[in-house]
Amino acid sequence: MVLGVGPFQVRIRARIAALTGFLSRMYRDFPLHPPDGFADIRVRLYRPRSWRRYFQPQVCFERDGKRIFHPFPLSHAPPLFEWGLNWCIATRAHQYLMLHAAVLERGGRALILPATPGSGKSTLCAALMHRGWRLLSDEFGLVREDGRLDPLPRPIPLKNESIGVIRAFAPEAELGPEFPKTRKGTVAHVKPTGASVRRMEESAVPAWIVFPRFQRDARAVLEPVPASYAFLRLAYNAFNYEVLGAEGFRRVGRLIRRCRHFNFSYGRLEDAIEIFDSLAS
Amino acid sequence: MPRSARWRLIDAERILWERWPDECIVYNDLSGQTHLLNVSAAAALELLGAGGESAETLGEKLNVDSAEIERLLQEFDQLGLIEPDE
Repeated sequence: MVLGVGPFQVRIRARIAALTGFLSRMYRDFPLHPPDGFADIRVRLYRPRSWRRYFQPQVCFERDGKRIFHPFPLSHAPPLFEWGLNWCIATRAHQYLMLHAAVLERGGRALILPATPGSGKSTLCAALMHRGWRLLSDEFGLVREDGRLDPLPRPIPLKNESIGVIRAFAPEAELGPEFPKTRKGTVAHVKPTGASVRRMEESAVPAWIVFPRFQRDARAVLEPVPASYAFLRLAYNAFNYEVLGAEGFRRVGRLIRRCRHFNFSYGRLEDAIEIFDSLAS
Repeated sequence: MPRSARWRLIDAERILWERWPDECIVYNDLSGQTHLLNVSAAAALELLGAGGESAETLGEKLNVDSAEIERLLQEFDQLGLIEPDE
């Protein structure tokens, strides 16, 4: 099958029941392209032929006929697919400046939430998506040459206690199966909302860069930060700032000039939603 | 380095700037490195981009102690931002 995911067409070859079930549920709103047509990314997941296949079955991820990563347990085929696809995009899509960030949109303006350890980025992203913000991406801020951001909506991976947090915060959220004992603990994916997928060809203008930091029970505080601080944090957090060289510098500079930038600490999702809503109003 | 030695920006076209009132970030396309500069360092680098300067003349123009300017020039040199103006 060839799946249209944001600006990319992804050819997926796999005969793995767990993955087929995951794709047909989490990607059911995404367009399918002719199987013999062009694909930007070509991946295959397969069960390696070894003695393990009988009592400890595994799955491998391959791009363009070359295996990437060590084998995963077969039951972890869906998270392996998601991580593998991230890797394919991060190492190839250099027509974009690729920020490691969640991006959401409201009223045509985009909110960029760069990923840093302890930021709670994916939880915040899933919560905002279920409170009227359109998901552009949970992982990639795709900055075009003209400075606009292209959407790449995909299932949002939640880890450990975040899974229960989102189930309670947004009971309408559609979550996929839980995958225990992955390298990141237990992982479950939140399906992107229908509107996020339907509008995945609509780019957005960057408006806010917010560096979130989750602190249990903390009061929500949004503080402006200097442009130079935002520049350096954004640049060093990008997947390919150095690869793009001078063009990367120009694109980060343009983003910083267009956006307001803040540090944001929070302890409750409700507070975060209120603050972001007031920012966008 | 002798105080009278003259220095200049390595290649003005390959140095990109982002300026704000209190700070500045430059990108050196020759080294691929990004540098955060304070106001004095940015002013010194701009003067070096306009033509050759010695520590002495830079110190006079920026009203900064020449020993401090020498340290700055040494740092610029190590970062590959300037070269001798011969």
